[in-house]
Amino acid sequence: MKTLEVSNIYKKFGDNQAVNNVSFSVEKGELFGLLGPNGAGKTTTIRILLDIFKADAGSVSLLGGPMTDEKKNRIGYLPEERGLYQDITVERCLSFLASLKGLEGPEAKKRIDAYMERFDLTAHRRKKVKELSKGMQQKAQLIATLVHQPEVIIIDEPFSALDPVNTQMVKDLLNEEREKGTTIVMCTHQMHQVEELCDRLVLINKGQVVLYGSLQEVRAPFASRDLLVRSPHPLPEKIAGVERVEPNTNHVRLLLTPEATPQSVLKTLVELNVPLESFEVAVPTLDEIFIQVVQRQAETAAA
Amino acid sequence: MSKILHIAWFDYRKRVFSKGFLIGVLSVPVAIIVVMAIAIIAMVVSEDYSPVGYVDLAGIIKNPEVGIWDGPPFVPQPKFVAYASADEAQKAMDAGAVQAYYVVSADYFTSGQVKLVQKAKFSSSNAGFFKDMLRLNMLEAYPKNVQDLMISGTDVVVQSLDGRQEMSQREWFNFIIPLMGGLLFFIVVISGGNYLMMAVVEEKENRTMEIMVTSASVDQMMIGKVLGNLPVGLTMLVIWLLLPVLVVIFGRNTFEWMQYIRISPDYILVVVATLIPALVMVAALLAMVGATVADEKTAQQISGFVSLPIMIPYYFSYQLMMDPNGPLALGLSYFPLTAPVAVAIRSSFTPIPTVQLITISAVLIVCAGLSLWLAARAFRLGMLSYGKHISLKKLFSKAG
Repeated sequence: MKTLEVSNIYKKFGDNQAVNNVSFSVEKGELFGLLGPNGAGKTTTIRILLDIFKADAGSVSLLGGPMTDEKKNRIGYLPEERGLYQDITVERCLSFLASLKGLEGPEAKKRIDAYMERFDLTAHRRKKVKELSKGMQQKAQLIATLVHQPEVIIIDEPFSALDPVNTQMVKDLLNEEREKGTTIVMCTHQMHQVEELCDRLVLINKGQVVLYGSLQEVRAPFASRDLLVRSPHPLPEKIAGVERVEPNTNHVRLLLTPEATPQSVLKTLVELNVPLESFEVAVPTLDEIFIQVVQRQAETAAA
Repeated sequence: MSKILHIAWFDYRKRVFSKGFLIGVLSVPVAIIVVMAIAIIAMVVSEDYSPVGYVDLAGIIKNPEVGIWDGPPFVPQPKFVAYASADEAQKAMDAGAVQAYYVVSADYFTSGQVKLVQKAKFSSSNAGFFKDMLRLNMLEAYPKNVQDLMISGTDVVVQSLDGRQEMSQREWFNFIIPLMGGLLFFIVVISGGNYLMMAVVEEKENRTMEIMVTSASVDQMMIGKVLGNLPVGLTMLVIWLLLPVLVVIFGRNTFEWMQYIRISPDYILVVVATLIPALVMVAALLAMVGATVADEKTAQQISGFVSLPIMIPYYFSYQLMMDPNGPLALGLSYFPLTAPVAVAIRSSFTPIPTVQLITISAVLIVCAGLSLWLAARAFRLGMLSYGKHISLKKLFSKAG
């Protein structure tokens, strides 16, 4: 069952075509990555699917249809432009934001207390928001996003301003939510985070979809026949099935002949008694794939 | 509780339970008390209320204490001391026992002459007390109501030709009520409107707009903000009014003029017909300012374009009093921003024709509707423009 379905949406601001025929869908319980470099149109896409902006054309179906006031209570949103009421206490700010999502009374207090405990904010609950560090404000904002137990979480650049410890905590939290069956759309330009967390992704550049599918599906067309090998000793100059050896800083890249396979090369290295510290197929990262795609687009445009 | 009420209560509470509000509320009564205290101290210090002598050659004064004002104990009054002859009174004055003395001539009933002998400046209030005392002694045989009438004089009541308005000398305070009403309106609308404007600016400054509009509709947010911020000015007003209301309740027996204070149904009609749509219009205009600018400072500067015209009728109050149905008065009554105060001032001096009142009210209602439309439009355009101004061109553009 599709929780979110975006079909051929367009949005133009003046002369700038911010979103250009973008389509994708997100399944229930999926952690979906909305990727792209800065200015690609990710935030505009999110604002369209949350009904903050109206699309010039196309349609969005969220939780089975267009956005309604009732559905707003079933969605948790962490915007890129973080914002909390600065002149009131953290506790009051979270309580008010929870009430806007239909959560109030003792239940709201119980959940806010639990989250503050988990995020190490209990000691700061009576401080004014402006007295908190940027990282703490980020955590308070996450509580506001999650406290009403939304069915869909839309989260824009969730790791900005977080140190490694808190980054890991947020990742754990997102995984927990996914296990609970919550649908999560994570919007980011940090592609390695998507590789680590997401089931599927859509990659947008200049308002257009350039890649869409599961991580494997996205990588498949870009999979190389290269191997990355690390050994404490220099590798033999001639290895059966290897066309070229390219030493890099931390490893050696082996470019295979058309008939060779990673298994046959591994067997050869073992037979040659080459000590191996690591041996892996050179899977392209999303960053590398993105660069390749952009370069291809530029070449096509130039041609 | 609905989202509108949550937003309204959140904003109202944030304003009213703040130090700034407390200081603002206390500042006015404290300032009034300080001014009154200074005035009383100045009166006590500047006036000489030491005893005043008198020589009653006409044999009128039986009781020198009648007519002495039964006012608050902190306001001093002179004591009148009788002397048998002018020589005795002169000696007493030379000895410093009295500050001055009156000599009521033997033929007072025919000449009406009273001689005042004084060493230094003699205050007019002391003279007033003596005159009242002398009159009341002459009227001793008459009932109290006749005595009071002779002291206070005839009350001339002026009635307008259509019979809708009456003005009495005793009811002088009722002249002031519409003038004060206009001023209070100004305070309420400006404070409430400013709070509303600041609430919108703060949403932009805090960057909470996206959270808000993904939790509630724009209409819910705007209505909540209007309901939460406009009553802040009213709360301030109610607290301020408590003081004069208490003064009137407890002062009715002391200050006779307070017994004549009344608010006419015509004035209430004027208030309902003009002040309410004007309140909505000004609040919406200030909310529009808040939505179009980037920060609080700019909002405060621009808000002057809305708030200053409201006070313009006060600058022309003399002209409005002299000619309440003249071209200037009518012009200010039909211009939406000056209408509420202009009509309030005029209503003190002339009955406002019903057709005119309906027309003015209709103009204000249309302007209020237009202002709300503009405010909502500015809000939609400006809500995600953090740190940016919305130009007038964009505000009025078709595609905006």
